[in-house]
Amino acid sequence: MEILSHDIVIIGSGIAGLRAALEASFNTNGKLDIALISKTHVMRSHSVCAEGGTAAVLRIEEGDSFELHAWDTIKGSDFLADQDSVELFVKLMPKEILLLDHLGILWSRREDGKISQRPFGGHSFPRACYAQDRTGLYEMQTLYDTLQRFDNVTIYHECYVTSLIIDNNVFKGLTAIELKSGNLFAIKAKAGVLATGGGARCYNFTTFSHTTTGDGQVMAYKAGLPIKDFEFIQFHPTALVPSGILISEAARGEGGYLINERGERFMKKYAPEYMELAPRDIVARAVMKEIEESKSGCVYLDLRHLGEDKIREKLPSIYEICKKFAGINIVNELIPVKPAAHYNMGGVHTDSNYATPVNGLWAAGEVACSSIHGANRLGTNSTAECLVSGKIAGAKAAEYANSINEFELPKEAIKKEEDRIYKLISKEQGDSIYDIRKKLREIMDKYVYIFRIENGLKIAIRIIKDLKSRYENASIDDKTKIYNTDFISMLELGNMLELSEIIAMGALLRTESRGAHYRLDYPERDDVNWLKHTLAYWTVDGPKFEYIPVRITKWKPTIRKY
Amino acid sequence: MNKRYLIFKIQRYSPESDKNPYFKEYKVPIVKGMTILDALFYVKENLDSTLSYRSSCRMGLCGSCAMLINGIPKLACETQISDIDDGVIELKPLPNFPLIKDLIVDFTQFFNKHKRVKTYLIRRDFDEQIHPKVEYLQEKNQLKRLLLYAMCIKCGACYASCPLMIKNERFLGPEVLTKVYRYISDSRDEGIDERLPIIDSSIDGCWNCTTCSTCKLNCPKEVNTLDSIIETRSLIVERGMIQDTIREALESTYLNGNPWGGSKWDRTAWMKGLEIKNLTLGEKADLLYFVGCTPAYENRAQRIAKALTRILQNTNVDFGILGDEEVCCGNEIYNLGEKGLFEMLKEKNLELFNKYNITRLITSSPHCFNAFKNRYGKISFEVQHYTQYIAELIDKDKLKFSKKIEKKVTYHDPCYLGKINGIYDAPRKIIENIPGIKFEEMPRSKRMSLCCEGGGGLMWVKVAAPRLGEFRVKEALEIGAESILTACPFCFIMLDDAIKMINANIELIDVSELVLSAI
Ligand SMILES: Cc1cc2nc3c(=O)[nH]c(=O)nc-3n(C[C@H](O)[C@H](O)[C@H](O)COP(=O)(O)OP(=O)(O)OC[C@H]3O[C@@H](n4cnc5c(N)ncnc54)[C@H](O)[C@@H]3O)c2cc1C
Ligand code: FES
Repeated sequence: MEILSHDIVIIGSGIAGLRAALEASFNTNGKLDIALISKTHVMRSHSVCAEGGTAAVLRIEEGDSFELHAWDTIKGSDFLADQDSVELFVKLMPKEILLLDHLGILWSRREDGKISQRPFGGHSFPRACYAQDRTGLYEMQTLYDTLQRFDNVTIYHECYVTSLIIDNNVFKGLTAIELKSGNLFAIKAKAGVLATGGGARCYNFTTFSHTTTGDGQVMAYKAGLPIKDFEFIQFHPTALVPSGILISEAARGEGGYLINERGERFMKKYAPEYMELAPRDIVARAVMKEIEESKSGCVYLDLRHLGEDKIREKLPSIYEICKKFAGINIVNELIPVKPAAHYNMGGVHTDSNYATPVNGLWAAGEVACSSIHGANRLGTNSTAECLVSGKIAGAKAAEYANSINEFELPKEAIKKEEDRIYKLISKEQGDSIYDIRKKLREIMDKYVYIFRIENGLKIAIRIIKDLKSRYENASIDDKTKIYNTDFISMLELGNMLELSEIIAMGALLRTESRGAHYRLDYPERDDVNWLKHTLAYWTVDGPKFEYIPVRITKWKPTIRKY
Repeated sequence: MNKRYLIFKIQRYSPESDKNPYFKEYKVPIVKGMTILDALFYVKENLDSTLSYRSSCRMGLCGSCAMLINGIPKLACETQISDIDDGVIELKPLPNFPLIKDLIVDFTQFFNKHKRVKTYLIRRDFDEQIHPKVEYLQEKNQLKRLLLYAMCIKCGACYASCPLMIKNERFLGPEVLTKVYRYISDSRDEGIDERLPIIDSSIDGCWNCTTCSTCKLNCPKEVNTLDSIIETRSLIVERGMIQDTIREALESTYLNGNPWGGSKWDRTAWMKGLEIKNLTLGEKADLLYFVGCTPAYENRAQRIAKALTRILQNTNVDFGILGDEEVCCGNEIYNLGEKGLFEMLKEKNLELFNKYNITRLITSSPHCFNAFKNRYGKISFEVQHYTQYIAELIDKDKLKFSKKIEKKVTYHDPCYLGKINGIYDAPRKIIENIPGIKFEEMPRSKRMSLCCEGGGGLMWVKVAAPRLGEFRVKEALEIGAESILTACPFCFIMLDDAIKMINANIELIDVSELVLSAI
């Protein structure tokens, strides 16, 4: 197997990965040898989908403050956020917005030429910076374009990382398959940044890209790292029916209404003050309730009163999406929506500087859990975290790599991975991975969704375990080497099965309701027993759970009302 | 309810087992709202899991899923099956990229082109740039303009559309050039002097573009690739950095009203022996025939003007010309980036049309047609390309064909008629109305037709051989055509050159000549 060598390897090229690569380049004057590896072409990462905005305190003179952003985030998290992480995050954010501005992003502007900000759910000040409703795409473009400045970054487009190599709790490198040739190769690196994004494609109705399958979380999990708070899945209240494509919260930020079958603005029953702009967990549950009561299959987003001009200027993507994917003209028609799996609050356990428990390995972006989102993330805080975590992880990894001496990759780890891959691909005549995947998504949507209950979760866990054993005997038809998408789907399915198990088991154990995790049989938050983080560790028999306390600095948990 | 099925004809190719690509058919049940990507997933999950394609966001943002859908580059994820009513759906990988497998092509070169041209914001003070203290200001209007060029998702549809890529892999292509312009024209950028020299090239830079607009037409995000290239040329011209041949054409146009170096007084030399009303001498007519510089001055193209004149006379149309007062329409001058000169020509022509009360005019060249229709602002006269006018004469029974022409012919779409102005049917209708004619399309036609490489001012730019016309002539030969027809003086010249260059045994005819020979 070919072994390549770099100072740092960054796994994943979404906003977090690109930001990390830039920071490491800035800080070392383009001297450090950086590998950036992505299973898609760099610019096809899921981050391009982010629509609504990126949160930051820019206008202290107009009434915003770090204190307020932190409080909104912590209250939004239902007090599960680690408060020191949040404080660091809000302080670093404004510079990130300015940096993107200086690198050429097309932030939407106010009349005075300054960066414009709009309201977003759970934020008590309009602090979402945005580039129309194509924020993620423009952020990605800006970061990718700037990366072209640096000759020290080697880009590995379309290389699927299959495992992390960790020896005695020290990061050493990774193994990956180059899709174009089908070759398995290894990268040896002194430091690593894991930035592989989320993983809720294990649900059927989801806003996620097909490629967000939680590979990074599982790579880390299998290498012995703990996965934190993974039972907390954010369900976005407004995904287009039937495709699940996101209708950004920006639609409500710009003044859109949610109405039920009877034409009522039902949010007045659930969050009389914040109405449509309450945090997502609350809105999603309200929507589900309305749907269940009316048996209508969806509620509606009403943008008609915004007028064509505002829609075209501020929400062009939503206009286009509704037109192309549902044949709806939002200027004069309602948009049918329902909640969809949208974000993983949990992820690979890190400290507030995004260091994992393994030396030399950092995690950034959605794959990481540092934890600023706790039990429920506020909209626009994720792209923001991608920027901040990318910056921190990139800087720390660069610093660390400069202090490490040359070493050899442990041969056994490589051999073991080679054998695993070979065994998987050469299996004959087993179950279809697509049948297994379909079943998995079906049960996740049915039993591990917005409303959870002991019985349902137990059924889900049983089925997942069964699917896992079917997966052991599954096989694929495509036995060729070059660009084998059948095989990649197989690897991804393996990851989704592991993650689903963590989600469902974590959810069963957590006998309370907090943020996005809602138990019909335990509808109250229970700070006495559950003000703590879940950590899941891999074992042959399934996850083993431990708990650690939440770090509280200033804000004591209170009743959460909007 | 009866399930509806559609046949998907999908190109397959596995380099490990197949010598050549081939088609395989799949029968897919169709449900309402289904996209092409949904159908691919259906095939992969239920019929044939070895089928390979790319996809990620499935919301038209990541650029993974561009492919040829019934011959046109589109995003599979945002193409509704119900919008395609051809019965069969044919899916092929994007052309102009090396093929990897099935619908997957190699983007390596595409991405490698970014670095060299500095597609990032350049500031003199890099340190300030990466350690920002206060935001830069940006006017809303400037932002609005930049957004026209910025919404690129790197799907490759433009690259797959670009005819230049067939002959010149080094050409930076629409995506890169648009990106460069997007940064150059950003009020925050200070890098114009670094970038312009890199793209001011007819080897790989902006002088390769024929402005054929296939890229713009097929861009799923409606990025204005075309304007960005022309605007870039403007910046280059403004700085006086232009090749001699272009300078000569511009000077000739400035001095003599035509880019061909001909004298102002020779504009009507072509009509020797023909009786045509000259509206500038006080004669009146219902219709102005705007001859245009190329049919007036270029030897080979003069036959177009002559044929058209005879047709009009044969069908008793009351028409006239502007004699020596006619000046260049400015279309190619605009394409070369000389906007000041273009404005001058525009004023001059509008003044003439006004002075002689022109209410309706036809042109021999699609380029003149385009200038009047799309680049003169609001106009108070009706303008048609001659093929539209003749098609109308046929419709109204005013033009009848009496002779049989037994030939197998094909038709080359001029870009400024077809892709840019959507006129595909009128010339085809004329051709198909001629008794005895056997008409066959070339593989690349209409929206994906191959450019002759004569537009965009490229008549006056030194570019490397072979010119695209040669590929076009070969394509006509391959389908066994005896004649290749076209309806544009530039195309005529380019194809004529090409036929001579490769010594092809094929006849080149302008549609006007064909019409004349059949009445
Ligand atoms: C539709 C939608 C809209 C959203 N809108 C907003 C918004 O407006 N504001 C906001 O703050 N947040 C938003 N979010 C959330 C936000 O977009 C994501 O959390 C964020 O983009 C994640 O970025 P990332 O850099 O962590 O990872 P991603 O962008 O997901 O990138 C992951 C990278 O890892 C690579 N990768 C994964 N697995 C492997 C592997 N095995 N081998 C190699 N490479 C691998 C991928 O190729 C990719 O490059 C939205 C989410 C969705 C679904
Ligand atoms: S899958 Fe992303 S553009 Fe089609």
